[in-house]
Amino acid sequence: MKPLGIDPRIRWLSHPVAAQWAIIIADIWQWTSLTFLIFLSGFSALPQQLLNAARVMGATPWQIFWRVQFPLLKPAIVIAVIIRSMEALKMFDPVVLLTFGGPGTSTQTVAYFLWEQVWVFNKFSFGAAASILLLIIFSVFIYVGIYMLIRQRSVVEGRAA
Amino acid sequence: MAVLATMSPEQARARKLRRERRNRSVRHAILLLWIGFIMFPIFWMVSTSFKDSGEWVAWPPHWLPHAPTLHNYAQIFAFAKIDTSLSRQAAEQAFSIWKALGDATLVCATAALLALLLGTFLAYSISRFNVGGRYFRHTILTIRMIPPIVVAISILIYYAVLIPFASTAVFGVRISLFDTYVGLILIYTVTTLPFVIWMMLTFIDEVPYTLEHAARLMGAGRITVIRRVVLPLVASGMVVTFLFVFILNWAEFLLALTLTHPEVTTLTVLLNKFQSASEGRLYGPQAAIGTMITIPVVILGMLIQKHLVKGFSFGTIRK
Repeated sequence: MKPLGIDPRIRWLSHPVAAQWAIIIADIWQWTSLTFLIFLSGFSALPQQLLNAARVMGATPWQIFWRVQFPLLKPAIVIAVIIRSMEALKMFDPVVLLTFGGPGTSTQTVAYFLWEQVWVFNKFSFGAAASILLLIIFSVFIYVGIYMLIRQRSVVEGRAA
Repeated sequence: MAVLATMSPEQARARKLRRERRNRSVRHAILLLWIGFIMFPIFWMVSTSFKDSGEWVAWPPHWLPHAPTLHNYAQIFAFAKIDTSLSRQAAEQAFSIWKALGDATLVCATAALLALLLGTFLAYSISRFNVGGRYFRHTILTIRMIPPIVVAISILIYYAVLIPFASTAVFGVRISLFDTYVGLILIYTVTTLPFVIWMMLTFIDEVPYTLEHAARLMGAGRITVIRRVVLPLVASGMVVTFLFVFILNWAEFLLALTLTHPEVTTLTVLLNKFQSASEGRLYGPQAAIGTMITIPVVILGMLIQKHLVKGFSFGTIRK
Protein backbone atom coordinates (compact mmCIF):
# COMPACT_ATOMS: atom_id res chain seq x y z
CA MET A 1 0.00 0.00 0.00
CA LYS A 2 2.94 2.30 0.71
CA PRO A 3 3.93 2.83 -2.96
CA LEU A 4 0.36 3.80 -3.75
CA GLY A 5 0.66 6.70 -1.40
CA ILE A 6 -1.78 5.27 1.10
CA ASP A 7 -0.76 4.97 4.70
CA PRO A 8 -1.86 1.48 5.78
CA ARG A 9 -2.11 2.65 9.35
CA ILE A 10 -5.68 3.86 9.13
CA ARG A 11 -6.70 5.55 12.36
CA TRP A 12 -9.66 3.24 12.72
CA LEU A 13 -11.09 4.71 15.89
CA SER A 14 -9.89 8.28 15.92
CA HIS A 15 -10.80 9.38 12.41
CA PRO A 16 -14.47 10.40 12.07
CA VAL A 17 -15.14 8.48 8.87
CA ALA A 18 -12.90 5.52 9.62
CA ALA A 19 -14.59 5.10 13.01
CA GLN A 20 -17.98 4.86 11.31
CA TRP A 21 -16.62 2.20 8.99
CA ALA A 22 -15.00 0.37 11.89
CA ILE A 23 -18.40 0.03 13.54
CA ILE A 24 -20.08 -0.92 10.26
CA ILE A 25 -17.51 -3.65 9.64
CA ALA A 26 -17.86 -4.92 13.20
CA ASP A 27 -21.62 -5.11 12.76
CA ILE A 28 -21.29 -6.92 9.44
CA TRP A 29 -18.88 -9.34 11.05
CA GLN A 30 -21.25 -9.98 13.91
CA TRP A 31 -24.55 -10.40 12.10
CA THR A 32 -23.89 -11.85 8.66
CA SER A 33 -24.06 -15.31 10.17
CA LEU A 34 -27.63 -14.74 11.34
CA THR A 35 -28.83 -13.62 7.92
CA PHE A 36 -26.91 -16.55 6.48
CA LEU A 37 -28.87 -18.92 8.71
CA ILE A 38 -32.18 -17.33 7.73
CA PHE A 39 -31.35 -17.66 4.03
CA LEU A 40 -30.04 -21.18 4.50
CA SER A 41 -33.30 -22.29 6.04
CA GLY A 42 -35.11 -20.48 3.24
CA PHE A 43 -33.08 -22.21 0.52
CA SER A 44 -33.45 -25.63 2.09
CA ALA A 45 -37.23 -25.24 2.06
CA LEU A 46 -37.51 -24.39 -1.65
CA PRO A 47 -39.62 -26.92 -3.54
CA GLN A 48 -37.23 -29.18 -5.44
CA GLN A 49 -39.71 -29.91 -8.26
CA LEU A 50 -39.65 -26.30 -9.42
CA LEU A 51 -35.87 -26.31 -9.66
CA ASN A 52 -35.91 -29.61 -11.53
CA ALA A 53 -38.57 -28.30 -13.88
CA ALA A 54 -36.50 -25.21 -14.62
CA ARG A 55 -33.42 -27.34 -15.21
CA VAL A 56 -35.27 -29.64 -17.58
CA MET A 57 -36.44 -26.64 -19.56
CA GLY A 58 -32.80 -25.70 -20.06
CA ALA A 59 -32.36 -22.81 -17.66
CA THR A 60 -28.81 -21.87 -16.78
CA PRO A 61 -27.86 -21.86 -13.06
CA TRP A 62 -27.83 -18.06 -13.23
CA GLN A 63 -31.40 -17.99 -14.56
CA ILE A 64 -32.50 -20.56 -12.01
CA PHE A 65 -31.19 -18.37 -9.24
CA TRP A 66 -32.67 -15.08 -10.40
CA ARG A 67 -35.93 -16.28 -11.90
CA VAL A 68 -36.87 -19.18 -9.62
CA GLN A 69 -35.02 -19.25 -6.32
CA PHE A 70 -34.79 -15.52 -5.71
CA PRO A 71 -38.53 -14.77 -6.00
CA LEU A 72 -39.34 -17.80 -3.87
CA LEU A 73 -36.89 -16.60 -1.26
CA LYS A 74 -38.66 -13.28 -0.86
CA PRO A 75 -40.28 -14.06 2.52
CA ALA A 76 -36.89 -14.95 3.99
CA ILE A 77 -35.40 -11.76 2.56
CA VAL A 78 -38.18 -9.63 4.02
CA ILE A 79 -37.72 -11.26 7.43
CA ALA A 80 -33.96 -10.81 7.33
CA VAL A 81 -34.25 -7.16 6.31
CA ILE A 82 -36.81 -6.40 9.01
CA ILE A 83 -34.93 -8.17 11.79
CA ARG A 84 -31.58 -6.73 10.84
CA SER A 85 -32.74 -3.15 10.32
CA MET A 86 -34.52 -3.19 13.65
CA GLU A 87 -31.39 -4.46 15.37
CA ALA A 88 -29.17 -2.00 13.54
CA LEU A 89 -31.35 0.95 14.50
CA LYS A 90 -30.84 0.19 18.17
CA MET A 91 -27.11 -0.43 17.85
CA PHE A 92 -25.37 0.23 21.12
CA ASP A 93 -22.74 -2.30 22.19
CA PRO A 94 -20.11 -1.73 19.48
CA VAL A 95 -20.34 2.01 19.99
CA VAL A 96 -19.68 1.80 23.72
CA LEU A 97 -16.96 -0.78 23.32
CA LEU A 98 -15.16 0.85 20.42
CA THR A 99 -15.59 4.61 20.29
CA PHE A 100 -17.90 6.04 22.98
CA GLY A 101 -19.72 7.91 20.24
CA GLY A 102 -16.57 9.72 19.20
CA PRO A 103 -14.55 11.17 17.67
CA GLY A 104 -16.82 14.17 18.08
CA THR A 105 -20.30 12.84 17.44
CA SER A 106 -19.51 10.86 14.30
CA THR A 107 -20.50 7.47 15.70
CA GLN A 108 -23.24 8.62 18.04
CA THR A 109 -26.13 6.25 17.46
CA VAL A 110 -29.56 7.01 18.81
CA ALA A 111 -29.20 4.51 21.62
CA TYR A 112 -25.80 5.78 22.61
CA PHE A 113 -26.93 9.42 22.51
CA LEU A 114 -29.74 8.65 24.93
CA TRP A 115 -27.54 6.59 27.21
CA GLU A 116 -24.95 9.35 27.33
CA GLN A 117 -27.52 12.02 28.12
CA VAL A 118 -28.83 10.04 31.07
CA TRP A 119 -25.84 8.23 32.52
CA VAL A 120 -23.04 10.62 31.71
CA PHE A 121 -24.78 14.00 31.95
CA ASN A 122 -27.44 12.85 34.46
CA LYS A 123 -30.27 14.44 32.48
CA PHE A 124 -32.93 11.97 33.55
CA SER A 125 -35.98 13.97 32.60
CA PHE A 126 -34.46 14.84 29.23
CA GLY A 127 -33.77 11.16 28.71
CA ALA A 128 -37.30 10.19 29.65
CA ALA A 129 -38.79 12.78 27.31
CA ALA A 130 -36.46 11.77 24.49
CA SER A 131 -37.27 8.10 24.97
CA ILE A 132 -40.99 8.81 24.63
CA LEU A 133 -40.32 10.75 21.45
CA LEU A 134 -38.12 7.92 20.18
CA LEU A 135 -40.77 5.38 21.06
CA ILE A 136 -43.25 7.27 18.86
CA ILE A 137 -40.76 7.46 15.99
CA PHE A 138 -39.85 3.82 16.32
CA SER A 139 -43.53 2.83 16.48
CA VAL A 140 -43.83 4.06 12.90
CA PHE A 141 -40.90 1.88 11.82
CA ILE A 142 -42.23 -1.07 13.78
CA TYR A 143 -45.69 -0.61 12.31
CA VAL A 144 -44.25 -0.65 8.79
CA GLY A 145 -42.14 -3.70 9.62
CA ILE A 146 -45.01 -5.67 11.11
CA TYR A 147 -47.27 -4.65 8.24
CA MET A 148 -44.75 -5.94 5.70
CA LEU A 149 -44.40 -9.13 7.69
CA ILE A 150 -48.13 -9.78 7.80
CA ARG A 151 -48.60 -8.95 4.14
CA GLN A 152 -45.76 -11.22 3.17
CA ARG A 153 -47.18 -13.99 5.29
CA SER A 154 -50.67 -13.71 3.83
CA VAL A 155 -49.13 -13.88 0.34
CA VAL A 156 -47.30 -17.08 1.31
CA GLU A 157 -50.39 -18.57 2.88
CA GLY A 158 -52.44 -17.67 -0.14
CA ARG A 159 -49.94 -19.47 -2.35
CA ALA A 160 -49.93 -22.53 -0.12
CA ALA A 161 -53.72 -22.74 -0.04
CA MET B 1 -24.45 -23.99 -28.94
CA ALA B 2 -22.83 -23.65 -32.32
CA VAL B 3 -19.42 -24.14 -30.75
CA LEU B 4 -20.63 -27.18 -28.90
CA ALA B 5 -21.99 -28.72 -32.07
CA THR B 6 -18.61 -28.59 -33.82
CA MET B 7 -16.81 -30.18 -30.87
CA SER B 8 -16.49 -33.87 -30.32
CA PRO B 9 -18.24 -35.21 -27.20
CA GLU B 10 -14.88 -35.75 -25.45
CA GLN B 11 -13.87 -32.17 -26.07
CA ALA B 12 -17.19 -30.90 -24.79
CA ARG B 13 -16.93 -32.99 -21.69
CA ALA B 14 -13.39 -31.83 -21.01
CA ARG B 15 -14.47 -28.26 -21.48
CA LYS B 16 -17.35 -28.66 -19.11
CA LEU B 17 -15.12 -30.32 -16.56
CA ARG B 18 -12.58 -27.51 -16.83
CA ARG B 19 -15.25 -24.88 -16.34
CA GLU B 20 -16.65 -26.71 -13.36
CA ARG B 21 -13.21 -26.96 -11.82
CA ARG B 22 -12.63 -23.25 -12.38
CA ASN B 23 -16.00 -22.38 -10.84
CA ARG B 24 -15.23 -24.54 -7.87
CA SER B 25 -11.87 -22.89 -7.25
CA VAL B 26 -13.43 -19.43 -7.49
CA ARG B 27 -16.11 -20.48 -5.04
CA HIS B 28 -13.56 -21.88 -2.64
CA ALA B 29 -11.42 -18.75 -2.90
CA ILE B 30 -14.39 -16.57 -1.96
CA LEU B 31 -15.31 -18.84 0.92
CA LEU B 32 -11.73 -18.90 2.19
CA LEU B 33 -11.62 -15.11 2.11
CA TRP B 34 -14.83 -14.99 4.10
CA ILE B 35 -13.54 -17.50 6.62
CA GLY B 36 -10.48 -15.32 7.06
CA PHE B 37 -12.68 -12.29 7.64
CA ILE B 38 -14.82 -14.13 10.19
CA MET B 39 -12.06 -15.96 12.01
CA PHE B 40 -9.50 -13.15 12.17
CA PRO B 41 -11.00 -11.20 15.12
CA ILE B 42 -11.40 -14.42 17.08
CA PHE B 43 -7.82 -15.42 16.33
CA TRP B 44 -6.66 -11.95 17.31
CA MET B 45 -8.57 -12.08 20.58
CA VAL B 46 -7.08 -15.44 21.56
CA SER B 47 -3.65 -14.28 20.48
CA THR B 48 -3.92 -11.05 22.48
CA SER B 49 -5.02 -12.92 25.57
CA PHE B 50 -1.58 -14.52 25.71
CA LYS B 51 0.35 -11.30 25.21
CA ASP B 52 2.02 -9.25 27.87
CA SER B 53 1.08 -5.60 28.25
CA GLY B 54 3.77 -4.20 25.94
CA GLU B 55 2.65 -6.30 22.99
CA TRP B 56 -1.05 -5.40 22.97
CA VAL B 57 -0.68 -2.42 20.67
CA ALA B 58 2.77 -3.13 19.26
CA TRP B 59 3.52 -1.83 15.76
CA PRO B 60 4.09 -3.66 13.49
CA PRO B 61 1.57 -6.04 15.06
CA HIS B 62 2.81 -9.27 16.55
CA TRP B 63 0.72 -11.97 14.93
CA LEU B 64 1.63 -14.40 17.64
CA PRO B 65 2.80 -13.33 21.09
CA HIS B 66 6.59 -13.20 21.12
CA ALA B 67 6.69 -14.03 24.80
CA PRO B 68 3.51 -16.00 25.54
CA THR B 69 2.27 -15.49 29.06
CA LEU B 70 -0.61 -16.72 31.18
CA HIS B 71 -0.52 -13.51 33.16
CA ASN B 72 -3.88 -12.28 31.86
CA TYR B 73 -5.62 -15.50 32.76
CA ALA B 74 -4.00 -15.54 36.19
CA GLN B 75 -5.31 -12.03 36.68
CA ILE B 76 -8.92 -12.74 35.81
CA PHE B 77 -9.04 -16.09 37.58
CA ALA B 78 -7.46 -14.82 40.78
CA PHE B 79 -9.41 -16.09 43.78
CA ALA B 80 -8.42 -13.84 46.63
CA LYS B 81 -7.39 -10.23 46.58
CA ILE B 82 -4.92 -9.69 43.78
CA ASP B 83 -1.37 -9.69 45.11
CA THR B 84 1.28 -7.28 43.90
CA SER B 85 2.74 -9.58 41.26
CA LEU B 86 -0.60 -9.82 39.50
CA SER B 87 -2.02 -6.39 40.06
CA ARG B 88 0.68 -4.57 38.12
CA GLN B 89 -1.67 -3.83 35.24
CA ALA B 90 -4.80 -3.17 37.20
CA ALA B 91 -3.51 -1.51 40.30
CA GLU B 92 -6.60 0.61 40.81
CA GLN B 93 -9.13 -2.18 40.63
CA ALA B 94 -9.06 -5.82 41.53
CA PHE B 95 -11.28 -7.85 39.26
CA SER B 96 -12.04 -11.49 39.34
CA ILE B 97 -14.18 -13.36 36.89
CA TRP B 98 -15.66 -15.82 39.38
CA LYS B 99 -18.50 -13.69 40.75
CA ALA B 100 -19.46 -12.41 37.31
CA LEU B 101 -19.39 -15.95 35.95
CA GLY B 102 -21.71 -17.15 38.70
CA ASP B 103 -24.02 -14.15 38.35
CA ALA B 104 -24.22 -14.43 34.58
CA THR B 105 -24.91 -18.17 34.68
CA LEU B 106 -27.59 -17.79 37.32
CA VAL B 107 -29.35 -14.84 35.69
CA CYS B 108 -29.16 -16.13 32.11
CA ALA B 109 -30.21 -19.68 32.92
CA THR B 110 -33.12 -18.66 35.15
CA ALA B 111 -34.33 -16.03 32.71
CA ALA B 112 -34.07 -18.42 29.76
CA LEU B 113 -35.91 -21.14 31.68
CA LEU B 114 -38.68 -18.75 32.72
CA ALA B 115 -39.04 -17.38 29.20
CA LEU B 116 -39.11 -20.91 27.80
CA LEU B 117 -41.84 -22.00 30.21
CA LEU B 118 -44.05 -19.00 29.53
CA GLY B 119 -43.23 -18.90 25.84
CA THR B 120 -43.98 -22.54 25.14
CA PHE B 121 -47.48 -22.35 26.58
CA LEU B 122 -48.09 -19.01 24.92
CA ALA B 123 -46.94 -20.39 21.60
CA TYR B 124 -49.20 -23.40 22.08
CA SER B 125 -52.22 -21.25 22.74
CA ILE B 126 -51.41 -18.96 19.81
CA SER B 127 -50.92 -21.93 17.53
CA ARG B 128 -54.04 -23.83 18.58
CA PHE B 129 -56.56 -21.26 19.74
CA ASN B 130 -55.44 -18.16 17.81
CA VAL B 131 -55.07 -16.27 21.06
CA GLY B 132 -54.81 -12.55 20.49
CA GLY B 133 -56.26 -12.61 17.04
CA ARG B 134 -54.94 -13.58 13.64
CA TYR B 135 -51.88 -11.37 13.62
CA PHE B 136 -50.77 -11.80 17.21
CA ARG B 137 -47.87 -14.00 16.22
CA HIS B 138 -46.42 -11.06 14.31
CA THR B 139 -47.34 -8.21 16.60
CA ILE B 140 -45.71 -10.06 19.51
CA LEU B 141 -42.41 -9.17 17.86
CA THR B 142 -43.02 -5.52 18.65
CA ILE B 143 -41.48 -6.00 22.10
CA ARG B 144 -38.31 -7.24 20.48
CA MET B 145 -38.18 -4.34 18.06
CA ILE B 146 -38.38 -1.53 20.60
CA PRO B 147 -34.83 -0.36 21.29
CA PRO B 148 -33.91 -1.43 24.82
CA ILE B 149 -32.51 2.02 25.57
CA VAL B 150 -36.01 3.46 25.25
CA VAL B 151 -37.36 1.21 27.98
CA ALA B 152 -34.14 1.11 29.98
CA ILE B 153 -34.67 4.58 31.45
CA SER B 154 -38.26 3.96 32.47
CA ILE B 155 -37.39 0.51 33.81
CA LEU B 156 -34.58 2.02 35.83
CA ILE B 157 -36.91 4.59 37.37
CA TYR B 158 -39.49 1.87 37.93
CA TYR B 159 -37.01 -0.44 39.64
CA ALA B 160 -35.15 2.12 41.67
CA VAL B 161 -37.88 4.59 42.61
CA LEU B 162 -41.45 3.45 42.01
CA ILE B 163 -41.31 -0.07 43.40
CA PRO B 164 -39.43 0.93 46.59
CA PHE B 165 -41.89 3.81 47.04
CA ALA B 166 -44.95 1.62 46.56
CA SER B 167 -43.65 -1.20 48.72
CA THR B 168 -42.83 1.21 51.54
CA ALA B 169 -46.30 2.73 51.32
CA VAL B 170 -48.15 -0.58 51.20
CA PHE B 171 -46.07 -3.13 53.14
CA GLY B 172 -43.79 -0.84 55.09
CA VAL B 173 -40.75 -2.63 53.68
CA ARG B 174 -38.47 -1.09 51.12
CA ILE B 175 -38.11 -3.48 48.19
CA SER B 176 -35.90 -2.35 45.34
CA LEU B 177 -35.39 -4.32 42.16
CA PHE B 178 -32.43 -2.23 41.06
CA ASP B 179 -29.18 -4.19 41.07
CA THR B 180 -30.84 -7.45 42.08
CA TYR B 181 -30.99 -10.86 40.44
CA VAL B 182 -34.77 -10.74 40.36
CA GLY B 183 -34.82 -7.45 38.51
CA LEU B 184 -32.38 -8.56 35.84
CA ILE B 185 -34.08 -11.94 35.43
CA LEU B 186 -37.47 -10.27 34.99
CA ILE B 187 -36.29 -7.86 32.31
CA TYR B 188 -34.38 -10.61 30.45
CA THR B 189 -37.46 -12.81 30.50
CA VAL B 190 -39.58 -10.04 29.02
CA THR B 191 -37.10 -9.10 26.30
CA THR B 192 -36.50 -12.65 25.12
CA LEU B 193 -40.08 -13.87 25.33
CA PRO B 194 -40.97 -12.81 21.75
CA PHE B 195 -38.07 -14.83 20.35
CA VAL B 196 -39.10 -17.86 22.39
CA ILE B 197 -42.66 -17.57 21.13
CA TRP B 198 -41.51 -17.22 17.53
CA MET B 199 -39.17 -20.16 17.64
CA MET B 200 -41.59 -22.38 19.55
CA LEU B 201 -44.39 -21.48 17.14
CA THR B 202 -42.44 -23.01 14.25
CA PHE B 203 -42.02 -26.21 16.25
CA ILE B 204 -45.54 -26.43 17.66
CA ASP B 205 -47.17 -25.64 14.31
CA GLU B 206 -45.60 -28.83 13.00
CA VAL B 207 -47.17 -31.11 15.60
CA PRO B 208 -50.08 -32.68 13.73
CA TYR B 209 -53.38 -31.78 15.25
CA THR B 210 -54.68 -35.30 14.56
CA LEU B 211 -52.34 -36.68 17.23
CA GLU B 212 -53.83 -34.39 19.83
CA HIS B 213 -57.29 -35.20 18.58
CA ALA B 214 -56.63 -38.91 18.97
CA ALA B 215 -55.40 -38.40 22.51
CA ARG B 216 -58.48 -36.32 23.29
CA LEU B 217 -60.76 -39.05 21.94
CA MET B 218 -59.04 -41.58 24.18
CA GLY B 219 -60.10 -39.49 27.13
CA ALA B 220 -57.04 -37.38 27.92
CA GLY B 221 -57.58 -33.90 29.26
CA ARG B 222 -56.06 -30.83 27.68
CA ILE B 223 -53.23 -30.72 30.24
CA THR B 224 -52.42 -34.38 29.74
CA VAL B 225 -52.39 -33.89 25.97
CA ILE B 226 -49.89 -31.07 26.27
CA ARG B 227 -47.71 -32.95 28.73
CA ARG B 228 -47.77 -36.39 27.13
CA VAL B 229 -48.17 -35.63 23.42
CA VAL B 230 -47.09 -32.11 22.51
CA LEU B 231 -44.17 -31.48 24.84
CA PRO B 232 -42.28 -34.71 24.02
CA LEU B 233 -42.61 -33.91 20.31
CA VAL B 234 -41.21 -30.40 20.65
CA ALA B 235 -38.61 -31.30 23.30
CA SER B 236 -35.65 -30.90 20.96
CA GLY B 237 -37.06 -27.58 19.82
CA MET B 238 -37.33 -26.48 23.44
CA VAL B 239 -33.68 -27.34 24.04
CA VAL B 240 -32.63 -25.33 20.99
CA THR B 241 -34.77 -22.38 22.04
CA PHE B 242 -33.44 -22.52 25.57
CA LEU B 243 -29.83 -22.50 24.42
CA PHE B 244 -30.46 -19.74 21.89
CA VAL B 245 -32.11 -17.52 24.48
CA PHE B 246 -29.36 -18.35 26.94
CA ILE B 247 -26.79 -17.14 24.44
CA LEU B 248 -28.83 -13.98 23.78
CA ASN B 249 -28.88 -13.19 27.49
CA TRP B 250 -25.25 -14.17 27.84
CA ALA B 251 -24.27 -11.54 25.26
CA GLU B 252 -26.69 -8.85 26.44
CA PHE B 253 -24.92 -5.66 27.42
CA LEU B 254 -27.08 -2.55 27.58
CA LEU B 255 -29.66 -3.63 30.13
CA ALA B 256 -27.11 -5.28 32.36
CA LEU B 257 -24.99 -2.15 32.25
CA THR B 258 -27.95 0.05 33.04
CA LEU B 259 -29.82 -1.89 35.68
CA THR B 260 -26.97 -3.17 37.80
CA HIS B 261 -24.18 -1.48 39.65
CA PRO B 262 -22.14 -2.45 41.60
CA GLU B 263 -23.54 -5.65 43.11
CA VAL B 264 -24.75 -7.89 40.28
CA THR B 265 -22.24 -8.11 37.44
CA THR B 266 -22.61 -10.07 34.23
CA LEU B 267 -19.62 -11.02 32.13
CA THR B 268 -20.15 -8.41 29.42
CA VAL B 269 -20.33 -5.65 32.00
CA LEU B 270 -17.21 -6.97 33.70
CA LEU B 271 -15.40 -6.96 30.37
CA ASN B 272 -16.16 -3.29 29.91
CA LYS B 273 -14.87 -2.51 33.39
CA PHE B 274 -11.35 -3.66 32.61
CA GLN B 275 -9.82 -0.25 32.17
CA SER B 276 -7.19 1.38 34.27
CA ALA B 277 -6.75 5.09 34.68
CA SER B 278 -3.07 4.97 33.80
CA GLU B 279 -3.06 2.52 30.91
CA GLY B 280 -6.49 2.90 29.36
CA ARG B 281 -8.14 -0.27 28.19
CA LEU B 282 -6.45 -3.43 29.44
CA TYR B 283 -6.60 -5.35 26.21
CA GLY B 284 -4.89 -8.44 27.57
CA PRO B 285 -7.33 -9.24 30.39
CA GLN B 286 -10.21 -8.08 28.18
CA ALA B 287 -9.17 -10.55 25.51
CA ALA B 288 -8.81 -13.27 28.13
CA ILE B 289 -12.34 -12.60 29.41
CA GLY B 290 -13.62 -12.43 25.85
CA THR B 291 -12.14 -15.84 25.18
CA MET B 292 -13.74 -17.19 28.35
CA ILE B 293 -17.13 -15.72 27.38
CA THR B 294 -16.87 -17.16 23.88
CA ILE B 295 -15.97 -20.73 24.78
CA PRO B 296 -19.33 -21.74 26.33
CA VAL B 297 -21.18 -20.04 23.47
CA VAL B 298 -19.18 -21.97 20.88
CA ILE B 299 -19.80 -25.24 22.72
CA LEU B 300 -23.54 -24.54 23.01
CA GLY B 301 -23.62 -23.50 19.36
CA MET B 302 -22.06 -26.80 18.32
CA LEU B 303 -24.62 -28.66 20.40
CA ILE B 304 -27.59 -26.99 18.74
CA GLN B 305 -26.02 -26.69 15.28
CA LYS B 306 -28.20 -29.38 13.75
CA HIS B 307 -31.47 -27.82 14.84
CA LEU B 308 -30.47 -24.21 14.49
CA VAL B 309 -31.50 -23.86 10.85
CA LYS B 310 -35.05 -24.88 11.59
CA GLY B 311 -35.31 -22.62 14.61
CA PHE B 312 -34.09 -19.70 12.56
CA SER B 313 -36.55 -20.15 9.73
CA PHE B 314 -38.82 -17.71 11.64
CA GLY B 315 -41.81 -19.32 10.06
CA THR B 316 -40.66 -18.99 6.46
CA ILE B 317 -40.60 -22.76 5.99
CA ARG B 318 -43.94 -24.07 4.89
CA LYS B 319 -44.91 -27.67 4.84
